[in-house]
Amino acid sequence: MEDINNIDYTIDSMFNSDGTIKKRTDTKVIPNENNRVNKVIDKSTKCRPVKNTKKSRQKPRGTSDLAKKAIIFIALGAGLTIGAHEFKTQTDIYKGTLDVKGDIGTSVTSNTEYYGYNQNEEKPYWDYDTENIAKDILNENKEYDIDTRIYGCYTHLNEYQKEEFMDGIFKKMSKLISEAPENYNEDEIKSCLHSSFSEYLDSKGVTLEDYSKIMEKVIRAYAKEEINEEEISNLLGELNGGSR
Amino acid sequence: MNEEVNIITLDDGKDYMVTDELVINNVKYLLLTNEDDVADFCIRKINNINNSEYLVGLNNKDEVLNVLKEFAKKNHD
Repeated sequence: MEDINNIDYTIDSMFNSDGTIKKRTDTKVIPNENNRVNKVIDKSTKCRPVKNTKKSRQKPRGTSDLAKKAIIFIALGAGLTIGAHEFKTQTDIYKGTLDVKGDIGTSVTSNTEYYGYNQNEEKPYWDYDTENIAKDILNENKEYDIDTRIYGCYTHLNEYQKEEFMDGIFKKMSKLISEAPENYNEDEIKSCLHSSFSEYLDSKGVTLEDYSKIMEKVIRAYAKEEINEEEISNLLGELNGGSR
Repeated sequence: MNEEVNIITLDDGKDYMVTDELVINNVKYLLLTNEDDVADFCIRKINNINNSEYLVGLNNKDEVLNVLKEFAKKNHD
């Protein structure tokens, strides 16, 4: 019996760039896909009814996930459509979200200094240049809307005193806007002219949890190969209570 | 570390883990994986017969493929 953990079921190994299934010649990688699916069909249709008597049993953690992967692998590997295009599209979007998150996180990553590692507390020392973070949120990555740029900053700050740093960054953004309001558009002014992160969320009328959910959807929308401005606008409208 | 899984004994006498449950058009399907061979799996649906739940086979190939398609969709999102 082949060990399922040794099978290469990465996207690149299974699909061509256009989303179609790769033809396999190496039967060691995916042995007899159609036979396996036919076996599943036979086992699922040619059988006698049994009474549903479940019992529970302890298994090593991850057993269910592994079983799910095996089913997906066999179904997809057999060339069943089963969302092959959809699967690849979703994976591409996921990769795209990482790129978007990298872009919008540069306001933090470009302005963070590390000073080594504290062995006792088991965490690194770091310092944020909040002045430059505020400037970068306002002035860089303008291909993304201001709320996405703010979210990029929020997600890239370390958990330690995250909200306190966000408060400081909002104060600095407010100062920059008050010094030269003509440099910023209405959305930037509305979103950044706050004295704290909680005031920003209050202005949107959303909880932190809702804010994160909406912004993750916005990032997925930006990550698509063909960006749908209307979809992004609708999602941002959701964040802004329909005002955008 | 362990996890608790539900086990069902099928008509072949082997024990199968309940890997997932799906409801499609008001029919409940179970995806069952042989607990000794993760690549050996099958699908059953639940029918109520005389007030008792029974696991019965699917009608045909199309029904099997449809369940697999829905399973793949659910687990790719």
